[in-house]
Amino acid sequence: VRNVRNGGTAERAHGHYQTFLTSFPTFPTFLTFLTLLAACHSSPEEKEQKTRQQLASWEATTRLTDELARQGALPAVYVRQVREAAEQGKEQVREQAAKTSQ
Amino acid sequence: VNKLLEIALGLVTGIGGFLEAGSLSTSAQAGASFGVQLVWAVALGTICIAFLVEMGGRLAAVSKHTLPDAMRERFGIRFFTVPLIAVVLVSFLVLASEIGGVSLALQLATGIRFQWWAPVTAVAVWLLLWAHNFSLVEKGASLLGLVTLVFLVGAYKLHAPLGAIGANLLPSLPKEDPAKYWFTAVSIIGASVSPYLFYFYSAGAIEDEWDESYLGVNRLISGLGMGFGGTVAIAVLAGSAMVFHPLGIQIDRYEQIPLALAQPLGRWGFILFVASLGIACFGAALEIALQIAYLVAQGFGWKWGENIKPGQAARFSLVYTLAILLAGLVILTGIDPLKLTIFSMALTALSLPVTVVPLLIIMNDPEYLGDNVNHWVANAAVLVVSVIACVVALVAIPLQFLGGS
Repeated sequence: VRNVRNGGTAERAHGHYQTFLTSFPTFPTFLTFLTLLAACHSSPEEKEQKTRQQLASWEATTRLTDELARQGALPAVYVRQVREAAEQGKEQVREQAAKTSQ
Repeated sequence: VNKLLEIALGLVTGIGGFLEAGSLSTSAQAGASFGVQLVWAVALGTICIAFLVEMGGRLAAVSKHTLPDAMRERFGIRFFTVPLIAVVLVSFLVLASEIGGVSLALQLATGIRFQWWAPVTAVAVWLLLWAHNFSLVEKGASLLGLVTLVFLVGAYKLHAPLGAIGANLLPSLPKEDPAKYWFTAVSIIGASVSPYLFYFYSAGAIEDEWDESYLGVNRLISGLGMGFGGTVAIAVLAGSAMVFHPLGIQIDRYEQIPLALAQPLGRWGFILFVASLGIACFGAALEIALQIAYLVAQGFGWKWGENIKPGQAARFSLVYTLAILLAGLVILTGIDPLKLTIFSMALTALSLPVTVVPLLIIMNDPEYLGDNVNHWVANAAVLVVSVIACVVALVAIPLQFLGGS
């Protein structure tokens, strides 16, 4: 096992590495692919459904937190944080929905 | 006896060191959104990281080279800068995520906003690195990290569906929201195959002066240690799937995740979650800060080592000091730690070929490894996972952002 390498080997390795990197599709081709994918990504109905799901998720989080808090499984300081996060989360979802519907 | 002790400590490091901000949050998100369907991503990532860690240890034991050292020597400084920049950038984001994770754990416990905890966390990480040696940093953090085994207890108490988990070890197509599904899958793989893990392991093997007699130990530690670590990550996913998925809860904030342990284990579940998040992220922050310094110092041929005094390796110490300072500042800005973590993990997946391909070339070079070059199975496993993760990340990251998440 050698610890010192010569320049020729480094160049050969450099060649392998470069071939590997250039074997990926070109950037414009890839960008076109992404744009096409994005175009068929989500319809207004799907976006609306996603908004409903996100709001329901925060409602369910609050319900679960309250239920566990009643059982004494959660400290008050944490329960406050979850409620605050839920309010912020719902607000963000509504703002996002309003923006996309404009 | 020494070797047995090494194996035991290595396994502890594998288990205690596997779970951190990335694997915890991506597994929890996956379980909440898709039930146990994404178990395959954790399994795939675990197999890949086990191979990579084994390679890092083997290279160190046989050639006495760390990965950056060998890469610079083999490819020359010009090409070495490509993986260097990729790994440093990704590791820096992951370091910020880990500091964010510790700060969030402190917020959950005290109610004081996480950004105020960022400077405290950063100073604590820096002080430990400055004042203590490698062994304490590595083994201490990993021993404390065993607290993450509580996720296995949680999954057991929730009666996690072992049959469904086993059935989902094979990849499957999404039943809903494909953009989120693939984005979550690559984030999980990115979290499991963080380059810091195998770079750090390789530097550790040099610090611990491994030789060829450690090859068996290396194989056991990487296989079993990472395997157990992956099992804990699957337990997080399964627990999250059992608690959140049936209620339609998606994980959008860290604050939601403790409920997955509080449900089966009550108040102790909450306490142990906070401890797990804090300790796991703190341990990972120590390792990543050190790894960034190792990478830069080894790459540029500077004097390095956590076992020597900071004054004797000034540039090495300066690198981790700067990395910790800047990462602390990122969290101080109030950036959402969960979003930062998930983004960092997806970016890690994206950068995998750049970090992994040079390693594979070295691992197949008999001039470095002699008779211990890679078996084709190891090459194929690592290359296939890395390239697939990268390609899926290239598509899933923009789609996820266009979807507004």
